[in-house]
Amino acid sequence: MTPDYVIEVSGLTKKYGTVQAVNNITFHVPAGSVTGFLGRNGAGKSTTIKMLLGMISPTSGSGTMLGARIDVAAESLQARRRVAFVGEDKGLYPYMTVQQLIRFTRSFYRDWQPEVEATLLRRYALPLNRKVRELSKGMRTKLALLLALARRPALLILDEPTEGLDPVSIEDLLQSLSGCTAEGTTVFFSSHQLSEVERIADEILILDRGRLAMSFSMDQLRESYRWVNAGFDKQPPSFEFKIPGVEHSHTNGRQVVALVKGDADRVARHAKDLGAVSVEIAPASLREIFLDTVKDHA
Amino acid sequence: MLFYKAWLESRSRFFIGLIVIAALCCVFVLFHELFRSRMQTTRGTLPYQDYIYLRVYGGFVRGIFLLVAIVLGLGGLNAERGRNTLMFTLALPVRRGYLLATRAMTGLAEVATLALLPALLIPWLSAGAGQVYPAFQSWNFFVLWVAIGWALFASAFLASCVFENDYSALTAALIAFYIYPLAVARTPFLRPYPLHIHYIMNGTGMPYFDPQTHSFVGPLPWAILGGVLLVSVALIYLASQLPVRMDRS
Repeated sequence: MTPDYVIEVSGLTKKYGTVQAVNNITFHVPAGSVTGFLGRNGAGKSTTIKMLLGMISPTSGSGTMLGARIDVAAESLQARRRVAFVGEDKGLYPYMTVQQLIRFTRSFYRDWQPEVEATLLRRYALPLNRKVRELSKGMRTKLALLLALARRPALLILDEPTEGLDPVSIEDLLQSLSGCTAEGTTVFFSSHQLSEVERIADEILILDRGRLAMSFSMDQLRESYRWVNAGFDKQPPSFEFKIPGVEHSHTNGRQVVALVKGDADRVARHAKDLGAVSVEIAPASLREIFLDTVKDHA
Repeated sequence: MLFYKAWLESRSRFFIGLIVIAALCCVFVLFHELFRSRMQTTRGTLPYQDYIYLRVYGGFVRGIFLLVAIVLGLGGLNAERGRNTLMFTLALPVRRGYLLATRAMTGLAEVATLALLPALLIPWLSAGAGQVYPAFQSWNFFVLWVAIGWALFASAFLASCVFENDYSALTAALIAFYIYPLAVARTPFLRPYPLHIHYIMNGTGMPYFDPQTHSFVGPLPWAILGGVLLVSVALIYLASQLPVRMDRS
C-alpha cells in the first residue's frame, strides 16, 4: 500500500559546528505529487536531501522516506532501493562508458525495467560506447535521468536538475518529470528556476536560511494567495497588518504590501479601517511569493 | 558490480605497477651478466642468488612494490568527493561498509598479484637465462611480500579515509612508510622485537634468513606474519568506521 506521504520530516535539524544548515524543519510530501523545494544558495536544500537519503545524520529531529526512518541505516538502505536520486552536478563515474554505467546501476535494482531503459536510450540518443567523461552536461543529465527512471522508482529526488542545461535539455527534462507521476512516481526536486517549478510542481516548499519559510500547493497559490497593496497619506502602521491571513507584509514608503492567504477582502477592509486611501488586490505569482519570502526573512 | 567499479578505479595504477615490476624483473634477470660484472666482490663475481636478492627481493624491485602497494590503497569515497561522484555512490542501496570492503578486497588481491609476479617470473626467466633460482626461495619471499604489502596497502587505505584528497593521503602514507621503520630502529626498547617491516620482508637480522647466502634457512615467521595480518585488518576496519566527510551546504 502506498502511504499518503512519501516524505515526512519533523523538527529536522543539521548543525555543522556552530553553523545551523537546517533548522527545525517540518514538512510532508504527498504521494504522487511533484514537489518543488525552493531556496537560495546555502538555504539548506542539499543538506536536507542528504539527510533524506541517509548520507548524513540529522543533529536532531526525525523523518521518514517511504515509511523508512532516515536515521536508521538498515531502513534507509531499504528505502533507497525504491528511491532514485539525480544530483546537481550529475556526478557519474567518468571512467565508465554509458553501457557500463547502465549495467552497473541495473545490478542494484531488481525492479529494473529493460523496456524503459530501451525507450529512454532511443529518446535521449545516448552513445552506449562513449565514456561518461566525454559526454556533455546535457547528455550526462539525460543519462542520470535514464538511470533513475528505468527503475520506476516510487520517489525521484533531484537536486537542481536543470542547472547548467541548455533550453532544449531543460524542456526534455521537464517533460520527463511531468510524465513521471503518471507512472506512480513522486517527484521531489530542488531548483532556483521558478518558472520551471511553476510549470510542473503541485506542491511548493520554500526554505530560507535553514528554516521552512513557506509551504503551499500550487492550487492554493492560484486560489488563495493575493497581494493587498494599501496606500496611505502618511507613514503607514505596518505592525497593524500582523493579523490572521497575512503571511507577511512590508512597508514601502507610504505603501504597505501584504501577502494574504485566504480572505484578501477582509485584509483590504482592515487597511481601509486603518485609513488607507487606496487598496488594490492582485493575484500572486510564485516568483513574487518566493522573492518576497526570502527578502522578508533576510 | 562494486568489485567491477573498484577494479575500474584502480586498474591503471595496478597495470602500471605490474608493467614496471615485470619489466624490472626481466631486465635484472636477462641482463644479469652486465649488472653482476659491475658488482665484483672479494670472492669474485657475485653469485646469482645474491645478485637477485640485492636487485629484486631485498633491493630496488622490493621498494617499487611497496610504493605501488601504497598507491593502490588510495582512492575511495573521499576521492570520489573530488570527482563529484560521491552522492551517486552513496545513493546506491548498499551499506558503506560493503563499499569499503569491496575496495579493500580488490586492492588486497591486486597487491597479492603483484607480489606473485617475481615469484613466477624470477625462477622461470632465470632458467631461460641459463641460471637457477630456487622456486622455494621465491615462494617464501612471495609470502613475506604479500604480508608486508597488505600492511602498507592498509595504512594507505586508512589514510585515504582520513584525508580529503589523494595527495594528503599519499603524503601521510609515505611519511609512515619512512618514519615507522626509523622509529622502530631508533627506539631501544623496540629494537629487540621483530617490528621492522622492511627487515621482516627482506630477512635482515631475522633467524629464518642467512645474510651471507641470502637464502632462507628456517621456517617463515608465521606468528609475526599473523600479527602483521591482524594489524592490516585492524587498519581497514578502522577506516570503515570513519565517517565520510560531506560538503557543507
